[in-house]
Amino acid sequence: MEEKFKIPRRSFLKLAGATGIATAMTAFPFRNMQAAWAFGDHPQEKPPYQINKKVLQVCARACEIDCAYKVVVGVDPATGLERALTIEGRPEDPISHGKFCIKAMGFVDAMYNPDRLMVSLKRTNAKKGTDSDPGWVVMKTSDAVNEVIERLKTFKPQEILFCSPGDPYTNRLCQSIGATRSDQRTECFGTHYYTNCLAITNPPNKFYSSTYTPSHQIVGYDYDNAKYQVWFGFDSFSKCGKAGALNHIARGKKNGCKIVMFNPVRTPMADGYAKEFHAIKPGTDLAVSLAMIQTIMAGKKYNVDFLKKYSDATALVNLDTKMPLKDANGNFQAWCTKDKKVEPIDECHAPALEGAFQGEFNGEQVKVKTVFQLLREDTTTYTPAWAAPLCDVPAKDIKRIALEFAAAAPRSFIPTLKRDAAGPNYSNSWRLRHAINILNSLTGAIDHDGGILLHHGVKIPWLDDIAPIREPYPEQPAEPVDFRNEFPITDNIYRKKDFSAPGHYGMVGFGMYKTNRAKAVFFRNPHRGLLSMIQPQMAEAALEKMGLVVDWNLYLDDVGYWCDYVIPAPHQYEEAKLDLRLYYPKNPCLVGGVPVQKSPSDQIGWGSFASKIGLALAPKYWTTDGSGDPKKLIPMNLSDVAVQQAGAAQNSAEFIKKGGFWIDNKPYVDYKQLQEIGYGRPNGRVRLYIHEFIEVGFDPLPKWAARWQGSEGKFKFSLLITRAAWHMHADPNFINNPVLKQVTEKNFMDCVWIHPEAGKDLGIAEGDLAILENNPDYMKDLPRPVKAKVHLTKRVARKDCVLLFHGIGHRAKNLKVAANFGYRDGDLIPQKDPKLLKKNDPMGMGWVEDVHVSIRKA
Amino acid sequence: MDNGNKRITELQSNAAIFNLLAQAFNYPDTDLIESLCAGDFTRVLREASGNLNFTGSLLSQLADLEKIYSGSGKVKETLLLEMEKDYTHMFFSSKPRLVYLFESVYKEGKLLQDSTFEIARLYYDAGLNLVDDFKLPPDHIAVEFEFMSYLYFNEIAAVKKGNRENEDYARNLRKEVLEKHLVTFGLAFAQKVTMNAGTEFYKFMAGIAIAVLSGNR
Amino acid sequence: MKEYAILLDSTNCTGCNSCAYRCIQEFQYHDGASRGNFRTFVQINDEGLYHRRCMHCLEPQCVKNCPVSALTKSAYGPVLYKIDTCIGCQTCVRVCPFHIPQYDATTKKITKCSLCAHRVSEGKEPACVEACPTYALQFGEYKAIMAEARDMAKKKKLNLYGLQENGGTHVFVLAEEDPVKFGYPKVAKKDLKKKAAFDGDLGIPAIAALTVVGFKKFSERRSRIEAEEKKNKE
Repeated sequence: MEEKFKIPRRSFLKLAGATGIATAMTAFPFRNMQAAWAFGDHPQEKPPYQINKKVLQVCARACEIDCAYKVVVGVDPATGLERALTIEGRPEDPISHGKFCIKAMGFVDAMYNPDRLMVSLKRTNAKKGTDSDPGWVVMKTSDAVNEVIERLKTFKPQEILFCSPGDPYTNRLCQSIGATRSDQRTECFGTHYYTNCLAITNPPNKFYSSTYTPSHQIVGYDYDNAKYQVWFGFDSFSKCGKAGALNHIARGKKNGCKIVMFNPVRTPMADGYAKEFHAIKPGTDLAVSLAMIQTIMAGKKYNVDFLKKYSDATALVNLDTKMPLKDANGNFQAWCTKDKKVEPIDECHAPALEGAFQGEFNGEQVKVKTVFQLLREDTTTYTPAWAAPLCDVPAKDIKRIALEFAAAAPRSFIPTLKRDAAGPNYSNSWRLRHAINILNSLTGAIDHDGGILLHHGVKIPWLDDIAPIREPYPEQPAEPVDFRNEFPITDNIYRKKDFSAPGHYGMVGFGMYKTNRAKAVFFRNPHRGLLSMIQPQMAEAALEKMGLVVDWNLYLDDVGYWCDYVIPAPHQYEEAKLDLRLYYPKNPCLVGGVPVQKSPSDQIGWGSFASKIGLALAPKYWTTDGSGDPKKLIPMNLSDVAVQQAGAAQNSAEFIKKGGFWIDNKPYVDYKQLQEIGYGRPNGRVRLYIHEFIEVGFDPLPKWAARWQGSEGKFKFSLLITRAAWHMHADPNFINNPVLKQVTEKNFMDCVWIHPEAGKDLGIAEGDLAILENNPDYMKDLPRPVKAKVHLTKRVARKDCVLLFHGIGHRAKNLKVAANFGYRDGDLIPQKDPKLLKKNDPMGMGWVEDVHVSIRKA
Repeated sequence: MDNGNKRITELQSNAAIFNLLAQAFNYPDTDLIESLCAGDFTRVLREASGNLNFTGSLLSQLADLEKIYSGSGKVKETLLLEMEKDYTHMFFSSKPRLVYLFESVYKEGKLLQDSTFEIARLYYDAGLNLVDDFKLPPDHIAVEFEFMSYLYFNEIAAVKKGNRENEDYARNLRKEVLEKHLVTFGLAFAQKVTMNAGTEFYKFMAGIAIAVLSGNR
Repeated sequence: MKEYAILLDSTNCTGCNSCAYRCIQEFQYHDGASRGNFRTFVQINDEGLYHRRCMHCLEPQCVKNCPVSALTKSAYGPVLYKIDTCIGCQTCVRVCPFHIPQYDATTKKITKCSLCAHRVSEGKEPACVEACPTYALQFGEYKAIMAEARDMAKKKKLNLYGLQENGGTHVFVLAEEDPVKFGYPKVAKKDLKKKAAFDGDLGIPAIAALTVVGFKKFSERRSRIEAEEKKNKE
């Protein structure tokens, strides 16, 4: 098209309106199209469609494993249009071994979901909530971003809450502004993460990395080579779909590993992979684990060498203060059995493992016992016979399992990665997690082939590593809306050691509802239905009164009812990535991914968005010289630096060109990593005795405690929560997928599951609708009973339980498939009241499955 | 009017109508509201639909539309906001989504599917591509309407120049666009808009789309 | 020509349905699947996991009874389906002892597995086998797979389904319990009669052309719009 034939469309209309069409039709008013060549000079070559483009990608956000794979893309070379079709595995990936899961495939189709948010939306009607029309209008995303920034400027830093995982950009942003960051990983990873921090990793350590892994997990499990595993609720339905773990678990089975599973629900994992299954009473795994400790201690089946060299078992504890003895350098002290005196633990050649002693330390006489001695004393009464009536598992079985577990050591372990039915997600689960760490330590499984593997040898830097700050960040809010300040243990880690640590998201709703601490809320919410978390009722009510609510998201999801702006995010496959293999860290390894396609929406990536906010609100932290000049934006090329530091490539582009994969195939050296990252490094150790618990009124070693919410009257069904293998957190990527909806319904996972005999007692038949309610003594604010179809199944192995499926029950009616699909389990779980929580959990993480509910026919 | 002139008038009217449809189903902006309020939009529409022998009821609705935009006394900003809200509600945020803008959603249930590729190929065959500023999939209804207008425009040019090859090429392309894309997708789209639009403008333009596409069926 | 079969060791399956979804993406039949029609699907039942998929019988009733020969038995194992020939009479639905062909009222066609004939022709495994994260599915030459199935059944004391059901199939299922207890149809066992039921009119290259991923025909899409409109009117 020659230039003279072009005409602005307004001029065309004006001209045509005034002089008639014939006169106006001398030029063409383009708006969305442009002429690449004159009409008729059409290309003679018609290149065929190709469906063989394969784009490197790494899974993110679907689970903690992060498989590497390729996305298979159909390409039209003529128009440049591309469409992803499916996934192909990468056999060289030590995690996935060429496998990928149904969620990864679901993500492919999510890119083309018709309900995907394509444009930025701005609210024009002030009234927020599910029953109000927001009066959305479309904005150019660049304009919407500028408006959001201007609005954010009107709030004080302490009034702003970013609901976001701790990625490099969010960390810099929240720290530079002085705003609170909180995220939804609390219930999923919190207990596990903080216990590991306190027992082993003491962040930041030399391998502390910024990655896409949601857990900042550094501990993996050597399923392939283990001979014995004990799973406390680890065999959830969600685990049934985690290809990155399953291929290892299948190899382990082939290699003859025995897995013992404790779970009130019998999942397909138990069908195929458990040599032994116990339908344990929910919330009593701690009793089994304590009895296992007692059995191993009593039978002297522990690994003395490991305990002495690589743990604090020989460390001395002052009986008056209950604190470990430490010298000026912070080193543990041991009792030397030869010299009969207190000596630094690393210099002592004959440390006592057991015993009570009196000696001189820092010029004073002290009465001390070893950590191991205290553990023995604390667990003496926790015999299998004591545990059996609590947990409904025969004492002889507990004893046998403990001895088998110890006999297989160090190629035996107890995993505890994530919550699920009867897993570590009730308020005494921090004790269970602690007990499991002790069991894995007693047998020397930590940092050993066939046991617990520790990440090592490679790191992806943080923004602060490549663009150091020129002056300290402002203080974080003294009274954050998530009450994290009430939990000194986690608060200390978050403020001083790892700003990416899981936030107290479970208290955000409570905080917003009961206080005025937050006035502006920014959801960095690309692939999750954040209101699927516990009791969203409070968050929903509180969001109505917020001065500003922004969501950066792939969908206009249920948060949208309360938003002032919704800004489109790219799909995870439309982003470049670099990842570590944290889930199975046997070898240092980097893997990269590149965008599968140009996003079909007017989106903005998070790095760009965060840096724009940062430049506007805290410019000195976002410019290389602190000037605030946007041209001097700090470098953000973390991937380039990471591949360079590993010696994998000069930059990430070259890395991808080389295949996007780097692995250091050196053999795993047992117990080396622990020394590098553990407490007391460079001779790092795992800690059994966590004195931080004493400082907040709890025991430094695990003791039995009942759940905070017991069975009372009609509220007698222990709430178990799991998730279909193809869902997560009411995420529209999956629940707005009509095929996955079919898969869910055909497998009754849109129902609540109870044992057939429980159904008989309640007069409920298969497919009946039922109402589930929480005890009003606990659900004091905004109760919202759940109404759902019932599936009677013996997979719920006990009459006193009800199994709910997490990840459905989205409220956003604008999503064609997800609307009115299933129920929302979170409605039954009361918001965390910090006062109640503090009485039960020093880290404030667990909570979800302590709940008991009533069930009646609707 | 001789046959040649009559044919050109008809082609011009079709080009104009599709152009107006494209203007209408893009996100509304000040250009659109100003041309509506100034009466330019409706004047072109009246002339083109008159040439194409549209029925009386459509023409009477056109008079109503003229009253709303050039005679109501409402300020342009208010009128534009009404249109923006209606457009966003229908196409981007309704509960559930009332109308989808993209052909592949109607035909394959998802974005960026085979029909998207096929229509993009036709743009390519006509020597066109999308401007960088247009970030949505290419099977957007407004782009397909714009494409039809462009094909009519080139057919006129070819007829005037006596370029038989280009004339045939343009005619065949637009037939393909209509038969394989717009007749099914465009009609389904327009019927949904007729049912769900809150403003008279969108209802009316959907009616125009139905008239045009049915006539060409 | 080599003859192929699938071995499903259901003691390794976790019911993740990755096989089902990979199949849908391989053949891009999302629409049909969203109406509940799957070529392969795993049902998590109380006593075990039922894989609903074509067993590719040695002597398929569907082939024998199809009035228009839309279903054919190939020499290399799979029972193949020619969608353009099918008249939607549903005879196959009625006669299949495994209750496999699913009739889609919208397209008036049936849905069933083809053992990924187009992939096999390229030397690849069927898509479901490649995707299975626990190696529960294996693919290989019929005789080798049958021998392995028998061997595993004997060594691990597992039940073997598909060996003699309906006179033998090209899919073997291993399970600890009797598969009939958790959903597999009880089908009369007959002596394994290995004779070719192959029609010989459709080789692998022809099938490959029929089943290439992507770019469907316009007429299929038109039926989708009509179905959607009908649904909206209802």
